[in-house]
Amino acid sequence: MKRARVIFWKEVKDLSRDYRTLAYVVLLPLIALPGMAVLAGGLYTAQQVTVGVVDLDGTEISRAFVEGLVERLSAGVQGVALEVVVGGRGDFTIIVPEGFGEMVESLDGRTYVELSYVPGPPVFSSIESIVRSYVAQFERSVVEARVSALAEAAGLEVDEGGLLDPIQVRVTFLTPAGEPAGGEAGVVAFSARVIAFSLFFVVNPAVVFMSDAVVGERERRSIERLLSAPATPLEVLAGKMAASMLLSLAAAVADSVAIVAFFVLSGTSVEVGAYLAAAWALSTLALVAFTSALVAALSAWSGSLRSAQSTSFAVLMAALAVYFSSLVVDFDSLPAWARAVLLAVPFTHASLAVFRASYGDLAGMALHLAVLLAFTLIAVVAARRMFTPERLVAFKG
Amino acid sequence: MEECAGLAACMIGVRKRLGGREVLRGVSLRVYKGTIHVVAGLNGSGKTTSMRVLLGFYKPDAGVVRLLGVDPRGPRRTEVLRRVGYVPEDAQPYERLTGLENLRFYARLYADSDEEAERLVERAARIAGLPWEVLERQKAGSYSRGMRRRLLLAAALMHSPELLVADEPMSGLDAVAAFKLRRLIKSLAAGGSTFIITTHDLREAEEIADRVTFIHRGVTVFEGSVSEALEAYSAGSLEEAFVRAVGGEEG
Repeated sequence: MKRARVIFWKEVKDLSRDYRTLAYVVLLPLIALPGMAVLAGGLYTAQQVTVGVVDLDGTEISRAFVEGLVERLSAGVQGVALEVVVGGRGDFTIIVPEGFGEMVESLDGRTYVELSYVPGPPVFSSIESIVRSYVAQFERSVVEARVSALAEAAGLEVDEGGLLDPIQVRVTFLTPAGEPAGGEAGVVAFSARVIAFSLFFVVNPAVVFMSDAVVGERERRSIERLLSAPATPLEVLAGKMAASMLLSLAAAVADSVAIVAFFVLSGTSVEVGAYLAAAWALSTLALVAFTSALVAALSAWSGSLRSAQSTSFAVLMAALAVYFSSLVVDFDSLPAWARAVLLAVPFTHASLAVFRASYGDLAGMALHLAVLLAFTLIAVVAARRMFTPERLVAFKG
Repeated sequence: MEECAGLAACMIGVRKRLGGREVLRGVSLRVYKGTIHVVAGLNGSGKTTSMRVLLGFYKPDAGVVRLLGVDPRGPRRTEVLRRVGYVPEDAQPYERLTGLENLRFYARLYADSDEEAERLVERAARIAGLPWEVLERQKAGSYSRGMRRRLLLAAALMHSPELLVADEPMSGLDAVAAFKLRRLIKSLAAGGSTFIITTHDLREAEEIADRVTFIHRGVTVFEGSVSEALEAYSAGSLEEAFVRAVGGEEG
């Protein structure tokens, strides 16, 4: 395999000097994704929003209500500073109607708080949530006072908490095996989704580098000379695959870090424990090997540059579909036919390995990685079969 | 195959179908050791396909192929390729590598040790005739067409092959570069090397050829020495002989 090593180093040098491609697969995500999060976050917090609070009632109770509300709003919402104008209208207006105090003070009176705004901007939804939460808190104190008054009138002793909240909700996180999973399981589960999604950014560089190593060399008309050198097609394939894998792994690490940074900088909690980190690393490695072998086979099989580009695009789209779904779809909740279809797609096994690891299911993780490895071996055999001088030389650039 | 015994390259009755079309319909080629053998034909006549079959890239549908006495698609393929140099038509060096890196890469594929590889690189650099500084510092992508051609020829000759196959080697070279290349080929042939050169430029062929093969529409229509060609077609030049051989057709 000495010649495979020579080809490997040539490929590393050749591919790594394609600065435009390197910028596209490494630098662009590394800068653009965290940059996007910072920029979007910065622009979000730079919004200037005026909240108007109008008290049409003017009673002691309505004033107390407005005072508390203004205090809550003045703290801002998700980093956006709010300018609160009492007595005037704003982008978001809260109106306390006439008779508010009277209704609140009576035993069974009912009133309202009116909110008016143009729908659409996420910050308005956040302000509405804050107002609703403040109203619920205020309402609770009103109801407690009413219950006390009623209990006193009836000569009863009442636990207001029990009376108002007779049924509570308690949440226990479980592993798929039914074991308690601990309080951090929610964050870990979401982190697994983020990591599964980031696997797309592993596939992308592998497709780019491997197709350049094969299709690029055919297109640049240097492959015929290479194939006339005393190296077997297997040595040429091995050298090209190893170089593509090395660069793809470097790019994958950078891109995966970038995508996690994107979520973290966007304010999402991401927690990567030892199992998840191991699953991430192993899935990345297996995925790079699989994608490189698959693209090598497809690139050698393609009779023209256009068909090579189309097949590479199809590989990317399949990966994108699987990994984007990972963000929102629970594999185990899918109908059997959908699971069967997805299990036939090798990319699925990388994301399932990550999910299984996030539950602490190491056997499940190993199983999916083994399946991905089996797919990789099939792809390597296919690549070897396709990688014949006849196919490689007969190419319409 | 007795008919091929002792020949540097041999193709007998080769047929090859590509993309649904029979590109070679009976190509025969007998190349004697130590000669410069020109394969001439119109554009699209099957010259390049013949060379690809000879080097084992394409599997012939019928016929016999021997390269330095060996089946180029057989188990001794790698071994025989060590003794052959090849410059494909329109081939390009690795544009993102310097000239020297290109030569080093090929040298390491042919050499058994780093020392031997360096010797091959030095030899190739002399053959290429390009300034060391240009080879060392400039990426091959910045070279002119002629410089690229010389670099590839040097890479094909660096390991002193017994047989060099060059597909249209003069194409794109200026008059001086073409003259130098012809001189180099003649001097190497005088030293015992064998050359197969495809071309559609018969004037150029006549200057260097010992023997010629005319291929027309995928069939060998003539095979012999230059003087035999002139005699066979009662021609005053190889070009005239070729035109008569192909019936005055254009490619």
